[in-house]
Amino acid sequence: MIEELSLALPLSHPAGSEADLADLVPTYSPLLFRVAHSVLRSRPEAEDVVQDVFVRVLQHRRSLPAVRDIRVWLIRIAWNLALDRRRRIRPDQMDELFAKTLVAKTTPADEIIDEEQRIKAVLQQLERLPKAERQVLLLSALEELDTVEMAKIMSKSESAIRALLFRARTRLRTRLDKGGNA
Amino acid sequence: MNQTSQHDIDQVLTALRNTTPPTGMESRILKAVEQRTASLPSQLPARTWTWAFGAAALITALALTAIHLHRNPPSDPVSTASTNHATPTPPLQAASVTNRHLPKPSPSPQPNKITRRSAPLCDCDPLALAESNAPSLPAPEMPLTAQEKLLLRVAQHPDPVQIEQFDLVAKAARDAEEKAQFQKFFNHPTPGDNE
Repeated sequence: MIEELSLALPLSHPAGSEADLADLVPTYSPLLFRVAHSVLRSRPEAEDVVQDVFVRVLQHRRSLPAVRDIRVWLIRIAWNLALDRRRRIRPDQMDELFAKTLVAKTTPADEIIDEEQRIKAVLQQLERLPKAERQVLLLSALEELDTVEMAKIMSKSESAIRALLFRARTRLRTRLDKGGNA
Repeated sequence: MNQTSQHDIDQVLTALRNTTPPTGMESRILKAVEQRTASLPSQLPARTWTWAFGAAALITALALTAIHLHRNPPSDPVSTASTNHATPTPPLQAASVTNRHLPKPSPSPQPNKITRRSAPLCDCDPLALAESNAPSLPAPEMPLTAQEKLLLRVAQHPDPVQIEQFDLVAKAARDAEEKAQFQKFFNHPTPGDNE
């Protein structure tokens, strides 16, 4: 089944080499899943986004030779698709389940509830951040992206990305310290 | 408190970073993309399209030529003989030779329409295109001449004297009668005039 897909797609890292879609999916789908999941915090929705990304790749395969960095290009598609999907769902509805998954299984029972509450508070304050600051903070969490790539994805300058990231961390920490009222 | 907040933030960001995709996601995505690939229309290379268009143009040209020849058979000995006075060859043979070398104007207007269709106007001239696509209407009427206007006025308002003037015989008779009366009056004076 996989061998039947023979789409010639250029890769950014080895210049001029070609790979088919069957190679692109295992290479980039975990990263794209994390990108979508950081925005949506829902695993089924994030998987749908990754699938939509590769469908877009299939539809625009004729313009692929003009793509310089296919990794950033794919992340940008996933990012925009996740932001579009975010308008239809509410990520805060998923926070309950997500917070439970974050609590370590070794945590004592009496501390589980407290830790879940603190994680939910972080997620809640994350949603209340200004849009640009929240997006930069989520992209920086992926760690695979440097400032240059984040600037390309968000169509901003590198200095703007650094400033947004600093303000986002400061504002989030301040609000959490003041109990979410700052 | 500050350390706790920072720890919670880092914990959430680390969890987002370490999220693993669900099992079997890649195979599901590949299957879905494969279904999309099957549903996409097959795209022929550009060279195939060029050959297809060339073949279609050739077939159209052959069909138009066949229609033209069917409607205008090439045998016309009279006109051909008139164009080939010097050679004493039989008319049929002359016709065949002439038809092979000289394009003969077609007598019927139908082939002209075909020729006009085979050379379409360029799309770059919208005014010419609009004029050629406009519906064909009869030419506007010419203005009436002075005589026609006079006739029309007489017909609408009949005057016996004017109508009678159009009759040349009656007019000539009347003129002759008036002339005769004039001559009779002046050539035969009354006796009382000299006295």
